[in-house]
Amino acid sequence: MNEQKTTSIYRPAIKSRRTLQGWMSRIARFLIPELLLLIYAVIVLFPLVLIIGNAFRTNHEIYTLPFSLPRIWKLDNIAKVLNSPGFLRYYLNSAKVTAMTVVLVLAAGSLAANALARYTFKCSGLIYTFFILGLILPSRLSIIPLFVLIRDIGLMNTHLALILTYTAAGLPFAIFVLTSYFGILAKDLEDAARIDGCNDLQVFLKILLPASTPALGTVTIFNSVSTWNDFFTALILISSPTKMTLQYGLLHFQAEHYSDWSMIFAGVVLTMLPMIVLYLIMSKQFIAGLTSGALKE
Amino acid sequence: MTQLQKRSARTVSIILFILPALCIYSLFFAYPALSALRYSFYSWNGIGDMKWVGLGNFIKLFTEAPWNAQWLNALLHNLLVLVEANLIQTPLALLFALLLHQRLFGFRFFRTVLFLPVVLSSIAVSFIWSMMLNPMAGVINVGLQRIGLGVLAMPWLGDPTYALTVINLIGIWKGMALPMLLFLANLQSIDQALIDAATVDGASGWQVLCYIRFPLLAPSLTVVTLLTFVGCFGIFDFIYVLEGAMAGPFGSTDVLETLFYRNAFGGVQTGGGNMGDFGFACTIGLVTAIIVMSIGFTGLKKLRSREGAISR
Repeated sequence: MNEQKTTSIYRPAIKSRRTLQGWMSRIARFLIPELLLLIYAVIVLFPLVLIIGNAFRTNHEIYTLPFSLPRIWKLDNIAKVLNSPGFLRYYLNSAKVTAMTVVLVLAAGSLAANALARYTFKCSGLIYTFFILGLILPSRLSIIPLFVLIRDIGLMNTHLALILTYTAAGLPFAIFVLTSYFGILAKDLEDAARIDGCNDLQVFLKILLPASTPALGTVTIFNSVSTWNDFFTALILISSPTKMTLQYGLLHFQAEHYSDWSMIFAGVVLTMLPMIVLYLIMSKQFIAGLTSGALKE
Repeated sequence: MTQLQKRSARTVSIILFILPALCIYSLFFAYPALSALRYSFYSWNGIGDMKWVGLGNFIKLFTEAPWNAQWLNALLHNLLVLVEANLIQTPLALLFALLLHQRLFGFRFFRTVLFLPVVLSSIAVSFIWSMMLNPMAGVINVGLQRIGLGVLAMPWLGDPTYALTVINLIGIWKGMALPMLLFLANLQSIDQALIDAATVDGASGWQVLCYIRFPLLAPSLTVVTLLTFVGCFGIFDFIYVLEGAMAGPFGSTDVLETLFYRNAFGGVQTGGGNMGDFGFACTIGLVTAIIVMSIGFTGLKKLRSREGAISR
């Protein structure tokens, strides 16, 4: 009886597959989603392809033939941007600030998460909540007192100010991710290491950290993207062009080369390039990292 | 080693583990955030003595012209951005997450491309679109003229009626990847057996979507709604880059964050130069934070209880 019921459900489907209408609807069901995805992909890619193409063209070509790709890929603009005073400096500044921030967030964050996840002590819950509060509070709220603090301790217009601010802002997420990850790691390896005479720090460095690469990767990606792309903090804390990071520098660069589109395009492309390349190489890790990053709220 | 020595050694390690993070976080995040609360009761331009004004800043913000009108103007713009994002971004993100989830031909390509804007900076995206939307030589207007729709060409970012919506669409171009990502991750976590069972019972694709997939998407819908809400109240970069700190044309793109920035740093490039009223700016920031956090938390509670009701 059961069998009969199943076949009776599937019969209409088989029938409709043979009719012309059935074929049409099957094709539509395949084609329409593909078409929609294709349209969206074009909307995403078109501006990017255009900008990358324009970075290799002259202003004259950009104005007269706005839609075409370069016939000859000229490296003049890119070279000019890289040679212009400042741009390379912005690049190095951003690389330095991002690298130092990520290292500090990983180091301080994983140490704190280690204590919070692997040890039981008084007020550990309180300290954890205190850190997690940083995920909820809007970070702009703190910018004025931060500005005053940085000014008063004499760190205005320094990279250290940026690094410390980014680290403080990045720690809540790092501690959130790492504490939950450290919490689920089994204890037996740790116990074995202790019997072998490892102290607390050695257990952390030799057992916990090597076992946590996925979580550390998530924190690294999320922090690199947000630090590399940040503009607001630099706008407030940095004033001299030699200290500017890339995003703020790009704004400065645009103001200097206001009507020189090819230069600005080249600058924009150079600004986006590192993140795009990293993304294309490890898009899976990026997607995983950013998903858990968005879930923080 | 005695028991006592062991215990004190353990305490020392715990303190040493926690201390670096706690110091940096307290000094450069928690302390400034708390200070903002204190500042909002003072009038202070950043130099010299702070003058206690009690609730004066709040009274000024809500009752005195032109501050109250400016604040309301900015708040309404944030709400417009929020409504538009919920009408455009969230449904589209859900649609494309569903399409991606089917793993159609070219799935890996589409996934990589559609999520790409996530890694672009708001500055770069602003510049790309400001060139595309340039009234004279931008490809949008030139393109419209080429296909005979020249009447539609306009100064997209210079029109007081449309500028904010255009900026919001730019924001959606960059920001849609995130809700899409969250929906997709949620879709992938749904047990396939549930869907198979429904299909065997004769449910159509549409029924599966409405009665099985959509209810089970409640967790990601909660997160997306909350993130959209918080994001729409935090919008700043695009407006600052595309319309300047004055949020032109004629304040038609002014939002709470640009209002806050102008009042704090005087609308000019900063770094120690011309300062505004720090106390008053902190009041604006605090009121925004209170709005966002109170509505955010109540909304979160409501959405979570909705999730609970569905899963039961």
